[in-house]
Amino acid sequence: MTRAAILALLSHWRRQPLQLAMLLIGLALATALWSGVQAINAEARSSYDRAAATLGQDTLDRLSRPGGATLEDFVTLRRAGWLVSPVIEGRIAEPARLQILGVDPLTAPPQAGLSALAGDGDILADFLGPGLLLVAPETAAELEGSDLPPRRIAPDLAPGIAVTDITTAQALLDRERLSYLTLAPEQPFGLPPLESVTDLSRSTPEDGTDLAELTDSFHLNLTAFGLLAFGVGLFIVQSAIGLAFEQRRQTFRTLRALGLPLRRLVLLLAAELAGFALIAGTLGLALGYAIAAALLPGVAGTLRGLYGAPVSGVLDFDPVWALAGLGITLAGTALAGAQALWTVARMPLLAPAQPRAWAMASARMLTMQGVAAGLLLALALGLTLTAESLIAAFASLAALLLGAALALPPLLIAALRAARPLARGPVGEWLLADARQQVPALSLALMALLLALAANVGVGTMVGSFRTTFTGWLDQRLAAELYVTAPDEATAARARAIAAEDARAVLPTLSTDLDVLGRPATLVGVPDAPTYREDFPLIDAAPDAWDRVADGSGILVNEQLYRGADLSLGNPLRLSEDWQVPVAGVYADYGNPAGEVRIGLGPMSERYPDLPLLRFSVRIDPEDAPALADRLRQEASLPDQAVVNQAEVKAISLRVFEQTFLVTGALNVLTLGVAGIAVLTSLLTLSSLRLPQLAPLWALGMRPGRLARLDVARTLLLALLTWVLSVPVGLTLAWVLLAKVNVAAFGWRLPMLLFPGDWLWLGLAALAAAGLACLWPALRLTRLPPSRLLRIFANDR
Amino acid sequence: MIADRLAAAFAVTLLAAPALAQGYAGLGSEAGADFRMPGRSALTFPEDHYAHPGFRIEWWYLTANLEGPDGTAYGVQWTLFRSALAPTAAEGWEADQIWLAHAALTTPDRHRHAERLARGGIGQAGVAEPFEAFIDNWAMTSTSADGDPLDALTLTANGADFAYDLSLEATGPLIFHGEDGYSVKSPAGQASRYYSQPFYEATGMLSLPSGEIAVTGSAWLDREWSSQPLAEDQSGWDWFSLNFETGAKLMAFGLRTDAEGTHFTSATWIEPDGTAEPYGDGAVTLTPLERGEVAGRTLPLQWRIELPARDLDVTTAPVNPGAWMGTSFPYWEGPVTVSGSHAGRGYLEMTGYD
Amino acid sequence: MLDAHDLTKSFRTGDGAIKVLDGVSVSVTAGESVALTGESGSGKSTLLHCLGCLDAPDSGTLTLNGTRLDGLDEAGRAEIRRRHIGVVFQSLNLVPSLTVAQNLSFQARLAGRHDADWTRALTDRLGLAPMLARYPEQLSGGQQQRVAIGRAIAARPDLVLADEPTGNLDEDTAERVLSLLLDLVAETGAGLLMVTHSPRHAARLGRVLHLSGGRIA
Repeated sequence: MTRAAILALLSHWRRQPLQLAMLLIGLALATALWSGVQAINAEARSSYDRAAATLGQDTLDRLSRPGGATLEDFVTLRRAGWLVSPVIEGRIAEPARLQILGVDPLTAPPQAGLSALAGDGDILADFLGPGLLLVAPETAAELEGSDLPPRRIAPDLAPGIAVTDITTAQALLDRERLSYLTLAPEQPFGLPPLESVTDLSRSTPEDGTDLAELTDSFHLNLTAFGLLAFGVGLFIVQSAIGLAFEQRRQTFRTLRALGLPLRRLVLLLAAELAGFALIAGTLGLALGYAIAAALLPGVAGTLRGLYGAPVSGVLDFDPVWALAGLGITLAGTALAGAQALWTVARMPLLAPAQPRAWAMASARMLTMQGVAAGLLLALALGLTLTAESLIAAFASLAALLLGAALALPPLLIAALRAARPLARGPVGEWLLADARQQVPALSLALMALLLALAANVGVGTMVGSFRTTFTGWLDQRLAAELYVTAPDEATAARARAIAAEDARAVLPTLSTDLDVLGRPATLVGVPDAPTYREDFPLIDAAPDAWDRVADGSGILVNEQLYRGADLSLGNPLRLSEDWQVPVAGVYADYGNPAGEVRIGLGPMSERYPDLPLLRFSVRIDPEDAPALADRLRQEASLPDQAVVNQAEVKAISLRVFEQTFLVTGALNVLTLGVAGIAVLTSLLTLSSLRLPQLAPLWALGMRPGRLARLDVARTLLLALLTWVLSVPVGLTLAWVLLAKVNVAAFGWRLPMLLFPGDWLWLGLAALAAAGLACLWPALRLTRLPPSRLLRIFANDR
Repeated sequence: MIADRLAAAFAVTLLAAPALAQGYAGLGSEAGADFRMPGRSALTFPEDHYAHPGFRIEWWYLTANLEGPDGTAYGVQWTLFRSALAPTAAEGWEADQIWLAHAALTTPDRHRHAERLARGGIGQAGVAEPFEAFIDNWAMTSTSADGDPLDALTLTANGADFAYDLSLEATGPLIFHGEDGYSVKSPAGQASRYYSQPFYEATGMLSLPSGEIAVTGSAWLDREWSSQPLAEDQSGWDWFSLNFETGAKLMAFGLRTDAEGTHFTSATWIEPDGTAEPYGDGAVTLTPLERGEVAGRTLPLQWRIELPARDLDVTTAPVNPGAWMGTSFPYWEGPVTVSGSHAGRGYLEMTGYD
Repeated sequence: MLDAHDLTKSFRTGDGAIKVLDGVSVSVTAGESVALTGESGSGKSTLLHCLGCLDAPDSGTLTLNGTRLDGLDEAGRAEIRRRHIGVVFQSLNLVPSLTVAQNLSFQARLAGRHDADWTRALTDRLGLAPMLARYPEQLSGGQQQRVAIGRAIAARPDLVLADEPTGNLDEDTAERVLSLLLDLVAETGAGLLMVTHSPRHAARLGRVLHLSGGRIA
């Protein structure tokens, strides 16, 4: 019995391969987008973990002193029994940006990278002897062909870091002294007090503002996109399942009439769905892996550019990820199939076979949707107005999108009703009436389209606003033509003298790291110059801000610090234990994850008399800049990379920027594509149900071709209306992103700019997607033989 | 982690197991052209108490059988290994000499141990003049005002949960194994320079989490260096240093070959007056008796030792069977008691039981 | 008015071609009502479809008021249906998305022949005035058939084709619906060809044709 029932149930799919394909495609796409995003997030997180593990000392106490520790410090402590290990940390810029971590493998606490030495004594001997760099695979690829010490791949290392022996690090960084000593967590029995052994000071690194936290917003963003895509995919699944169940009503009834218990029927159907979910889930995982692999380099670039977080561009396969992906597919299928299964479970055995379009929602349903939509939108508004946190901002976005989606069917119906007076003739009237009646059946697909379009408008507006603001800011911020960093003070002085001969102005700057409100920040000393007074991108400032900065009675802070610490103009900010200066102004500092403080060069060098004056910028006619750069390199014998042209910096910054939003763009396109497929599936599933609606019109003398054209027109009309509604939703989305999410996530607020041209293109894209989606069902309609239509009147379904 | 690898490299050096040795070519069973091979020339002192950087490996290996006020038996181990990446001794961070040390304190119910690693040339570890072998705060320091530096020593080491501080006084001469300290290790002729000071009387303090314990007893120092101590087919050894109640002492070792598990044996019989007689392969037989499981491995815990030339037929039993050195290259090292034709106590080391 | 001569029509099935119409000749004059009876599968509906330009015969001639209808393409047939033919099927006659009022006037407006007075008169005759704003799914079967009749007649067709128009109705309702149909057709002067199973209903029409094995008996 069960076997026969299974065969009967499955025979449906053999006759409806298209429907089967839609079901599987929908599930696979949903799984793919979701699991792809998950894979990206997981990879990024594991990269952070690896980075933390590489710099495993992050969790260990450190011993240090200004100017660095010495070999003698280390040996003295070891001879006293204290288990300490030396570390030299630094960066090199050439031939690639690389963080160098010099360690002593013999005393180092367990840490990432060093396991690459395992089982190969030659490597250990080379590490200690001639010198080796342990690097992540992609870093090895970047360094290909460079004249750095030989590289050895350590898969557990984060990219952009090279672990090497102390001696090698000393040579690479041209530095004798140790950055600090790490203190092993477990120390031997009966040691003398630390203070009696060394004058190094002990510090416990703060955890907290680590990469994972910093990048949470970005991942939340990706996750939100993944969920959106998954939801859109489930729309497809829901419509495919609904149709298949509707079409098999007769089969169900017959099977039950023949004695198949209802329970078993429902179980069989559930098992069938689970089977499909497993097949499609597997396909989706493969696709998701491919998507993630394709997007990961972009994400890695974003995270590196935006947060300085080292993320591997290479994807690992994680079985837990795969299982979780399959799990979410099963859960999604259950969600999408629940309604259909419930209907079957409640279907009376001997119900008359009413010809009733499936999923035809009643007026009551519409009202309920409208009420729910209103509540959600009110919630979104409330959250937006009150919320300051990132989670609340995203919650308000979710409420906004969901509310807008639910509001779509009532709004579409209202719009179509309002358009009725515009209709000319019976066909126009019918078109509007028919479109109205199709809204409930198409609503899920249209909601998917709305979400995709709104996301596009919203994210597009945000990125566009950001880009415009950012380019303008770059122009202001990089006002000088040349930026010079000298290796030592003498060279710096010589270079300044050379530059002064040709330049309009030479602007030296000082900079040092400091702790502001418990977070790392940079203090920059700037000269009092028109370049700053005129061009520097101040967001808000006291009237005499520059005078106060120049004499040290005021500071400028970047927006991140300003908003993060909730400062106001005039608030004093503690820069060190005995130094507190009021805030005189705020400037935009996009792309910098850390806080920054600016003060006059004079007051700063008084505070830090030993700080070498190594950097300066040069104002000169842009066309003379390259020549001066060459002169500086030759006459002051500055290395190539020590003199940077403004144009290059801009190009690099913009490239980082473009990278940043590459992923968002790609996900946008994918989501729109999935929404298009959702529309197609809905139309295909509807097309056979539409015959009873179209047959009378045909019998009354309307040609199939005309009916098909009208069907296309109706779909386009609905898509057009959906697009119109999506624009305000998208703009609201953009506003929340710019005014709330950005502030919470990155610490800066951006002006919102509108790009109506983009909306038009998007509208065209939506029409094209809907048009493509309805093309096939329409073509099928034109080719329908009369007998198929006549059967409608002869058959009682 | 890295310490594991490095220590494993030491193990490889010591054991020269070919499969492992391949990975650590620099320290494999090939001596390497730059390193010196042990010769047969007479040893000279105090020079030979110090490091021989021209040889690949070397150690200062001290074990002590001690007794508390209540008669409880304790064991102490203090070992400093030297392994050379190159036959030079540079100053500074450039590492060409690497030092590894093990310390252990065995009580009848607990075995505690610790491990240290260091590079030479920076003053963190080494053997300095006047005689001090040290790594971090562990040290074996000569207190002998005149005469041989090894006549009197202090010995300290500590770990996370133990520490000891001993004074050692030699009551007899240095003993040279094999032929004037040229000790053959395989039928193929692999050899090392090997001498001992087995006549130490020890006094001192053990520090345990439960408190301090004053101890007295005897100690035995082994000094050995080579560039290629074992043959390729030798997988481990069983090494005894025994003090009999008669005042006589026995050093005996058997190097096991992979294939048959047979021993290449060597022994030195030491009379109470310091007269020593070496015995070559086969003179002494070492027979594992009862086996037991320690740290997941099956080890012979009781041995029968026969030296017919001296009418010796004894059985050894461990003070604490769990004297497992769970260091990066693991081995068994602990105090034993001796019964049979001669009663006494001593130390046993068993390596290569993987 | 309507002349069909020697119509044939075959359908292809799995077992080969089945000849459903095998040389059928029929004529209906204006004002005449003809009942078409026959067993299931005798070809009644197929004949009706061919006469109503819902389907095309394989061969034979078909003229309406002297115009040849055979050989028309789908567009031509659609035009004939729109302007000259009114159809009433057993069920599903109505456009579900349109109200009763819109359904009633739909074909007349399609044919460009909408006459508001006439439609109102018809609405009254059919007793549909109280339900003009309703949608088909809100009507009973008899009400739906009355709307279908009204829609067919509102366009003032030359010929009304009815395929078992009362097949889904109970006997009383069927009687009332049939009477309305006959009365209204008679008033407009159109021809009526009605397929029915019921000899009693057939007897109420002017002439009865019996179809058997694809031929007029």
